[in-house]
Amino acid sequence: MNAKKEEDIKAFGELVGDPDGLRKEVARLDEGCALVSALERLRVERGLSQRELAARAGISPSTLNRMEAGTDDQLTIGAVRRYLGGLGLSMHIMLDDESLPAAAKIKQSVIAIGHDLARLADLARQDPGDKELVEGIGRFRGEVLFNFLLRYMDTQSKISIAPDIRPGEEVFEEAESPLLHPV
Amino acid sequence: MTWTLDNTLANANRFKAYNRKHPAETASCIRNTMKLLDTLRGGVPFQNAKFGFLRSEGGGLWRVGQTGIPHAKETRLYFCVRGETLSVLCIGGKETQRGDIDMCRKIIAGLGGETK
Repeated sequence: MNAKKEEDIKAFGELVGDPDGLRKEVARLDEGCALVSALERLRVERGLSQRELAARAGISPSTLNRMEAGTDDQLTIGAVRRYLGGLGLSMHIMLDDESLPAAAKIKQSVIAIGHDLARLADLARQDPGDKELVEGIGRFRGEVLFNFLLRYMDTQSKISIAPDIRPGEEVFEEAESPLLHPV
Repeated sequence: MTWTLDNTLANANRFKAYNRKHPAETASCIRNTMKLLDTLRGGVPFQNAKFGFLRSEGGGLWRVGQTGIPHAKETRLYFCVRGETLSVLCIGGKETQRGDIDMCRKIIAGLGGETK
Protein backbone atom coordinates (compact mmCIF):
# COMPACT_ATOMS: atom_id res chain seq x y z
CA MET A 1 0.00 0.00 0.00
CA ASN A 2 1.42 3.38 -0.99
CA ALA A 3 1.86 6.26 1.48
CA LYS A 4 -1.24 8.18 0.35
CA LYS A 5 -3.44 5.11 0.64
CA GLU A 6 -1.98 4.41 4.03
CA GLU A 7 -2.88 7.95 5.13
CA ASP A 8 -6.40 7.56 3.74
CA ILE A 9 -7.13 4.27 5.46
CA LYS A 10 -5.74 5.67 8.72
CA ALA A 11 -8.03 8.69 8.44
CA PHE A 12 -11.03 6.51 7.65
CA GLY A 13 -10.12 4.17 10.49
CA GLU A 14 -10.27 7.06 12.92
CA LEU A 15 -13.55 8.21 11.43
CA VAL A 16 -15.24 4.82 11.94
CA GLY A 17 -13.58 4.36 15.34
CA ASP A 18 -12.07 0.97 14.49
CA PRO A 19 -8.85 1.30 12.49
CA ASP A 20 -7.84 -2.37 12.82
CA GLY A 21 -11.27 -3.70 11.95
CA LEU A 22 -11.50 -1.45 8.91
CA ARG A 23 -8.06 -2.46 7.70
CA LYS A 24 -8.97 -6.16 7.99
CA GLU A 25 -12.27 -5.72 6.15
CA VAL A 26 -10.61 -3.74 3.35
CA ALA A 27 -7.88 -6.39 3.03
CA ARG A 28 -10.53 -9.13 2.86
CA LEU A 29 -12.37 -7.26 0.10
CA ASP A 30 -9.09 -6.62 -1.77
CA GLU A 31 -8.38 -10.34 -1.71
CA GLY A 32 -11.83 -11.40 -2.86
CA CYS A 33 -12.16 -8.80 -5.61
CA ALA A 34 -8.64 -8.54 -7.05
CA LEU A 35 -9.64 -9.54 -10.59
CA VAL A 36 -12.85 -7.48 -10.54
CA SER A 37 -10.86 -4.43 -9.43
CA ALA A 38 -8.25 -4.98 -12.14
CA LEU A 39 -10.93 -5.19 -14.85
CA GLU A 40 -12.71 -2.11 -13.52
CA ARG A 41 -9.45 -0.17 -13.43
CA LEU A 42 -8.69 -1.07 -17.06
CA ARG A 43 -12.12 0.20 -18.12
CA VAL A 44 -11.92 3.46 -16.17
CA GLU A 45 -8.36 4.20 -17.34
CA ARG A 46 -9.60 3.92 -20.92
CA GLY A 47 -12.34 6.46 -20.18
CA LEU A 48 -15.14 4.02 -20.98
CA SER A 49 -18.44 3.96 -19.10
CA GLN A 50 -20.04 0.64 -18.20
CA ARG A 51 -22.63 1.19 -20.94
CA GLU A 52 -19.97 1.91 -23.59
CA LEU A 53 -17.93 -1.15 -22.70
CA ALA A 54 -21.05 -3.34 -22.55
CA ALA A 55 -21.88 -2.33 -26.14
CA ARG A 56 -18.34 -3.11 -27.30
CA ALA A 57 -18.19 -6.40 -25.40
CA GLY A 58 -21.61 -7.60 -26.52
CA ILE A 59 -22.97 -7.98 -23.01
CA SER A 60 -25.80 -6.16 -21.32
CA PRO A 61 -24.99 -3.13 -19.15
CA SER A 62 -26.71 -4.79 -16.19
CA THR A 63 -24.51 -7.89 -16.55
CA LEU A 64 -21.41 -5.72 -16.69
CA ASN A 65 -22.61 -3.77 -13.66
CA ARG A 66 -23.16 -7.02 -11.75
CA MET A 67 -19.66 -8.21 -12.70
CA GLU A 68 -18.06 -5.06 -11.29
CA ALA A 69 -20.25 -5.11 -8.19
CA GLY A 70 -19.50 -8.74 -7.41
CA THR A 71 -16.58 -10.85 -6.29
CA ASP A 72 -13.94 -12.77 -8.26
CA ASP A 73 -15.72 -16.03 -7.42
CA GLN A 74 -18.86 -14.81 -9.18
CA LEU A 75 -17.07 -14.12 -12.48
CA THR A 76 -17.31 -16.56 -15.37
CA ILE A 77 -14.47 -17.11 -17.82
CA GLY A 78 -16.71 -16.26 -20.77
CA ALA A 79 -17.79 -12.96 -19.24
CA VAL A 80 -14.19 -11.99 -18.44
CA ARG A 81 -13.13 -12.88 -21.99
CA ARG A 82 -15.91 -10.71 -23.46
CA TYR A 83 -15.12 -7.87 -21.04
CA LEU A 84 -11.45 -7.92 -22.05
CA GLY A 85 -12.39 -8.27 -25.72
CA GLY A 86 -14.38 -5.05 -25.41
CA LEU A 87 -11.24 -3.37 -24.12
CA GLY A 88 -9.22 -4.78 -27.03
CA LEU A 89 -7.38 -7.21 -24.77
CA SER A 90 -7.06 -10.98 -24.89
CA MET A 91 -6.80 -13.48 -22.08
CA HIS A 92 -4.51 -16.44 -21.43
CA ILE A 93 -5.00 -18.98 -18.71
CA MET A 94 -2.12 -20.77 -17.07
CA LEU A 95 -2.92 -23.94 -15.20
CA ASP A 96 -0.49 -24.74 -12.45
CA ASP A 97 -0.54 -28.35 -11.31
CA GLU A 98 0.99 -28.36 -7.83
CA SER A 99 1.19 -32.17 -7.80
CA LEU A 100 3.73 -32.31 -10.64
CA PRO A 101 7.37 -33.18 -9.92
CA ALA A 102 9.90 -30.32 -9.98
CA ALA A 103 11.24 -31.25 -13.45
CA ALA A 104 7.76 -30.99 -14.96
CA LYS A 105 7.16 -27.66 -13.21
CA ILE A 106 10.44 -26.34 -14.61
CA LYS A 107 9.33 -27.47 -18.05
CA GLN A 108 6.03 -25.63 -17.59
CA SER A 109 7.81 -22.45 -16.63
CA VAL A 110 10.27 -22.62 -19.51
CA ILE A 111 7.46 -23.24 -22.00
CA ALA A 112 5.54 -20.29 -20.56
CA ILE A 113 8.62 -18.06 -20.87
CA GLY A 114 9.08 -19.33 -24.44
CA HIS A 115 5.47 -18.40 -25.24
CA ASP A 116 5.90 -14.93 -23.75
CA LEU A 117 9.06 -14.33 -25.75
CA ALA A 118 7.38 -15.58 -28.93
CA ARG A 119 4.52 -13.19 -28.30
CA LEU A 120 6.99 -10.39 -27.65
CA ALA A 121 8.68 -11.15 -30.97
CA ASP A 122 5.29 -11.12 -32.73
CA LEU A 123 4.54 -7.73 -31.25
CA ALA A 124 7.96 -6.41 -32.23
CA ARG A 125 7.41 -7.72 -35.77
CA GLN A 126 4.37 -5.45 -36.04
CA ASP A 127 6.78 -2.52 -35.99
CA PRO A 128 8.24 -2.83 -39.50
CA GLY A 129 11.05 -0.39 -38.82
CA ASP A 130 12.62 -2.36 -36.00
CA LYS A 131 14.16 -5.51 -37.45
CA GLU A 132 16.95 -5.32 -34.89
CA LEU A 133 14.48 -5.62 -32.03
CA VAL A 134 12.83 -8.68 -33.60
CA GLU A 135 16.18 -10.35 -34.14
CA GLY A 136 17.28 -9.48 -30.63
CA ILE A 137 14.19 -11.03 -29.07
CA GLY A 138 14.50 -14.12 -31.27
CA ARG A 139 18.14 -14.49 -30.31
CA PHE A 140 17.36 -14.02 -26.64
CA ARG A 141 14.60 -16.63 -26.77
CA GLY A 142 16.91 -19.09 -28.49
CA GLU A 143 19.60 -18.50 -25.89
CA VAL A 144 17.21 -18.90 -22.97
CA LEU A 145 15.89 -22.23 -24.23
CA PHE A 146 19.32 -23.45 -25.35
CA ASN A 147 20.95 -22.60 -22.05
CA PHE A 148 18.14 -24.30 -20.21
CA LEU A 149 18.60 -27.48 -22.23
CA LEU A 150 22.36 -27.34 -21.82
CA ARG A 151 22.13 -27.00 -18.07
CA TYR A 152 19.60 -29.77 -17.68
CA MET A 153 20.93 -32.02 -20.47
CA ASP A 154 20.80 -35.13 -18.29
CA THR A 155 17.11 -34.69 -17.71
CA GLN A 156 16.36 -33.66 -21.25
CA SER A 157 14.38 -36.78 -21.95
CA LYS A 158 12.10 -35.93 -19.05
CA ILE A 159 11.77 -32.29 -19.92
CA SER A 160 12.23 -32.18 -23.65
CA ILE A 161 11.10 -28.85 -24.99
CA ALA A 162 12.73 -27.73 -28.20
CA PRO A 163 15.70 -29.99 -29.03
CA ASP A 164 16.86 -28.18 -32.17
CA ILE A 165 17.39 -24.76 -30.70
CA ARG A 166 20.92 -23.32 -30.92
CA PRO A 167 22.15 -20.02 -29.52
CA GLY A 168 21.81 -17.11 -31.91
CA GLU A 169 19.08 -18.83 -33.86
CA GLU A 170 15.72 -17.12 -34.30
CA VAL A 171 13.04 -19.27 -32.76
CA PHE A 172 9.47 -18.47 -33.51
CA GLU A 173 7.91 -21.92 -33.62
CA GLU A 174 5.44 -22.36 -30.78
CA ALA A 175 6.23 -25.17 -28.37
CA GLU A 176 3.06 -27.05 -27.58
CA SER A 177 2.04 -26.49 -24.03
CA PRO A 178 -0.96 -27.92 -22.28
CA LEU A 179 -0.63 -25.11 -19.79
CA LEU A 180 -0.97 -21.94 -21.77
CA HIS A 181 -4.11 -21.66 -23.81
CA PRO A 182 -5.41 -18.62 -25.64
CA VAL A 183 -9.05 -18.32 -24.61
CA MET B 1 -2.11 15.10 -8.95
CA THR B 2 -2.65 16.35 -5.43
CA TRP B 3 -6.03 14.89 -4.59
CA THR B 4 -6.57 14.76 -0.85
CA LEU B 5 -9.14 13.30 1.48
CA ASP B 6 -10.94 15.53 3.97
CA ASN B 7 -12.92 14.01 6.85
CA THR B 8 -13.47 17.20 8.81
CA LEU B 9 -17.01 17.74 7.49
CA ALA B 10 -18.05 14.13 8.09
CA ASN B 11 -20.72 13.06 10.55
CA ALA B 12 -18.37 10.99 12.72
CA ASN B 13 -21.09 9.64 15.02
CA ARG B 14 -22.99 8.30 12.03
CA PHE B 15 -19.85 6.64 10.64
CA LYS B 16 -19.07 4.97 13.97
CA ALA B 17 -22.63 3.77 14.49
CA TYR B 18 -23.00 2.51 10.93
CA ASN B 19 -19.66 0.71 11.07
CA ARG B 20 -20.67 -1.09 14.27
CA LYS B 21 -23.80 -2.46 12.56
CA HIS B 22 -22.48 -2.98 9.04
CA PRO B 23 -18.67 -3.22 9.07
CA ALA B 24 -18.35 -4.99 5.71
CA GLU B 25 -20.56 -2.49 3.86
CA THR B 26 -18.78 0.45 5.51
CA ALA B 27 -15.40 -0.99 4.55
CA SER B 28 -16.57 -1.57 0.99
CA CYS B 29 -17.75 2.04 0.55
CA ILE B 30 -14.49 3.30 2.04
CA ARG B 31 -12.46 0.97 -0.18
CA ASN B 32 -14.34 2.24 -3.23
CA THR B 33 -13.76 5.85 -2.17
CA MET B 34 -10.05 5.06 -1.88
CA LYS B 35 -10.17 3.45 -5.34
CA LEU B 36 -11.69 6.65 -6.70
CA LEU B 37 -9.02 8.76 -5.02
CA ASP B 38 -6.29 6.51 -6.35
CA THR B 39 -7.66 6.88 -9.88
CA LEU B 40 -7.88 10.67 -9.56
CA ARG B 41 -4.31 10.78 -8.25
CA GLY B 42 -3.34 8.75 -11.31
CA GLY B 43 -4.42 11.66 -13.50
CA VAL B 44 -7.93 10.61 -14.55
CA PRO B 45 -10.20 13.71 -14.44
CA PHE B 46 -13.09 13.45 -11.97
CA GLN B 47 -15.70 13.58 -14.76
CA ASN B 48 -13.99 10.64 -16.49
CA ALA B 49 -13.84 8.44 -13.40
CA LYS B 50 -16.81 6.36 -14.54
CA PHE B 51 -17.04 3.83 -11.74
CA GLY B 52 -20.19 1.78 -11.44
CA PHE B 53 -20.35 2.50 -7.71
CA LEU B 54 -20.29 6.29 -8.19
CA ARG B 55 -23.50 8.29 -8.64
CA SER B 56 -24.34 11.99 -8.66
CA GLU B 57 -27.12 13.13 -6.35
CA GLY B 58 -27.09 16.55 -8.03
CA GLY B 59 -26.05 19.91 -6.61
CA GLY B 60 -22.43 18.84 -6.13
CA LEU B 61 -23.33 15.86 -3.94
CA TRP B 62 -21.97 12.42 -4.88
CA ARG B 63 -22.39 8.98 -3.45
CA VAL B 64 -20.27 5.82 -3.46
CA GLY B 65 -22.05 2.49 -3.11
CA GLN B 66 -20.85 -0.84 -1.74
CA THR B 67 -19.55 -3.62 -4.01
CA GLY B 68 -18.02 -7.04 -3.54
CA ILE B 69 -20.34 -8.21 -0.76
CA PRO B 70 -22.98 -10.79 -1.63
CA HIS B 71 -26.41 -9.98 -0.12
CA ALA B 72 -25.14 -6.68 1.24
CA LYS B 73 -27.22 -3.96 2.81
CA GLU B 74 -27.41 -1.13 0.30
CA THR B 75 -25.07 1.51 1.65
CA ARG B 76 -24.09 4.95 0.42
CA LEU B 77 -21.13 7.08 1.39
CA TYR B 78 -21.80 10.72 0.50
CA PHE B 79 -19.13 13.24 -0.44
CA CYS B 80 -18.54 16.48 -2.29
CA VAL B 81 -15.55 17.71 -4.28
CA ARG B 82 -13.82 21.04 -3.66
CA GLY B 83 -10.94 21.67 -6.01
CA GLU B 84 -8.84 18.55 -5.63
CA THR B 85 -10.22 17.69 -2.22
CA LEU B 86 -12.74 14.93 -1.70
CA SER B 87 -14.76 15.84 1.39
CA VAL B 88 -16.54 12.92 3.01
CA LEU B 89 -19.90 13.91 4.51
CA CYS B 90 -22.03 11.00 5.63
CA ILE B 91 -22.82 7.29 5.36
CA GLY B 92 -26.18 5.60 5.47
CA GLY B 93 -28.57 3.02 4.08
CA LYS B 94 -31.48 3.26 1.71
CA GLU B 95 -34.00 3.91 4.48
CA THR B 96 -32.20 7.06 5.67
CA GLN B 97 -31.34 8.23 2.15
CA ARG B 98 -33.71 11.21 2.04
CA GLY B 99 -32.57 12.60 5.39
CA ASP B 100 -28.90 11.93 4.62
CA ILE B 101 -29.09 13.76 1.32
CA ASP B 102 -30.89 16.74 2.93
CA MET B 103 -28.22 16.92 5.63
CA CYS B 104 -25.40 16.75 3.06
CA ARG B 105 -27.02 19.44 0.93
CA LYS B 106 -27.11 21.76 3.96
CA ILE B 107 -23.40 21.18 4.54
CA ILE B 108 -22.67 21.88 0.88
CA ALA B 109 -24.80 25.03 0.95
CA GLY B 110 -22.73 26.20 3.91
CA LEU B 111 -19.58 25.81 1.83
CA GLY B 112 -20.76 28.64 -0.46
CA GLY B 113 -20.77 27.11 -3.93
CA GLU B 114 -17.21 25.77 -3.98
CA THR B 115 -18.23 22.28 -4.97
CA LYS B 116 -18.47 20.68 -8.40
